[in-house]
Amino acid sequence: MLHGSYSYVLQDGDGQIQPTHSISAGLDYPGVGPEHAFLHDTKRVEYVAVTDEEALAAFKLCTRLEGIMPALEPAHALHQAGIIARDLGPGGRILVCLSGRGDKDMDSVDGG
Amino acid sequence: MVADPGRSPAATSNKSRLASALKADGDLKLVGYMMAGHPNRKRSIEVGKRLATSGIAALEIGIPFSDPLADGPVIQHAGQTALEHGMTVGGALEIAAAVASEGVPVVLMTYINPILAHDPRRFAAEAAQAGVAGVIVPDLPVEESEPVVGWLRSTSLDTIFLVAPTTSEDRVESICSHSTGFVYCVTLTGVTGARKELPDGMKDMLATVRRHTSLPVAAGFGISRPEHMKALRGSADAAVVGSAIVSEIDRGGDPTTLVKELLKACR
Repeated sequence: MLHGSYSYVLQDGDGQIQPTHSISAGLDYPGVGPEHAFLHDTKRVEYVAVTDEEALAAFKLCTRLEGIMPALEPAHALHQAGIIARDLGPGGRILVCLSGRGDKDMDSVDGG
Repeated sequence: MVADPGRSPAATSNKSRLASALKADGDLKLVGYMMAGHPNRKRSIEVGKRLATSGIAALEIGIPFSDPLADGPVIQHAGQTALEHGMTVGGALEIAAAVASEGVPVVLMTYINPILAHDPRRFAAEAAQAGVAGVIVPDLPVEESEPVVGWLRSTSLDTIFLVAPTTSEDRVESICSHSTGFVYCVTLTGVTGARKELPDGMKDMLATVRRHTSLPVAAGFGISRPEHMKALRGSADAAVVGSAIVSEIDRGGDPTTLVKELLKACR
């Protein structure tokens, strides 16, 4: 239970919330939104971890190939899309929601 | 969380040690506060025992939590120090047991996540076993308090809820009906920590709470000086002093000097 929300949180066995880090400000939080927790529990969504470096690489790839700067949050999803695409092979279709634009993240990308 | 019928507050409030200890009898009662494990386990037991016999009516013992959203810088720092020295919920319960053995009613103050992680039923049993009188969980609203509160009450622990200056009168009524031992009035909209002056409107708030409960009413947050004790006499049954005591402990001083000074102003 963190900030009034009963959901998955990054904590130790004594209930102490653990420090977080993410290059993406929107992901730098120790709690999981209740909707994601529900989708995870009902096995409707598979969740994976993506590193800062992987997200940055996906950000740069998307920017260079498509001329679209994704926010760093969906850049994590773009990295995973690349992995799934290798499994699907040519002709496969993947839909990625770019939930935000990357102009706001230019400082983070520069620093990375 | 699963539902649990819990127990009716009325069933235990009559016999509450806290209710008898905190009812003003001409004098304002003083409630102290310390953080378990601050600055370390050994010293925190020593300080707790000294506070227990200093003339206070009850002692709140904080169980440190990484995200103490009701606490100001002094108590946050104390909690962080305690955690860095390895304090745990189990360790805090041991400190509470050592301090409670001096005879002072001990009230644990912590947040809901450590209680959930510890297992609330086990927490209730161990707190009662430690001789604790009651529990305050500032981030547990009455509307969401079951089943945890039922489990705490089933081991005869009092459950104290907080009223804030922003609480509507119908919620004051609900908070009072869910509380046993005493009702805790947060005097200001903000976090814990010593303030120079108590806010306007505090007396009205205390009067409103009194209309809804026969339990003792304690005022807390910001209270730190003898003139605050004087201001609260006649309006509140008890004053809770936290950060001012914790500051003394933090600088290695003897908090009972401050307690004695405050007690003089309670009479």
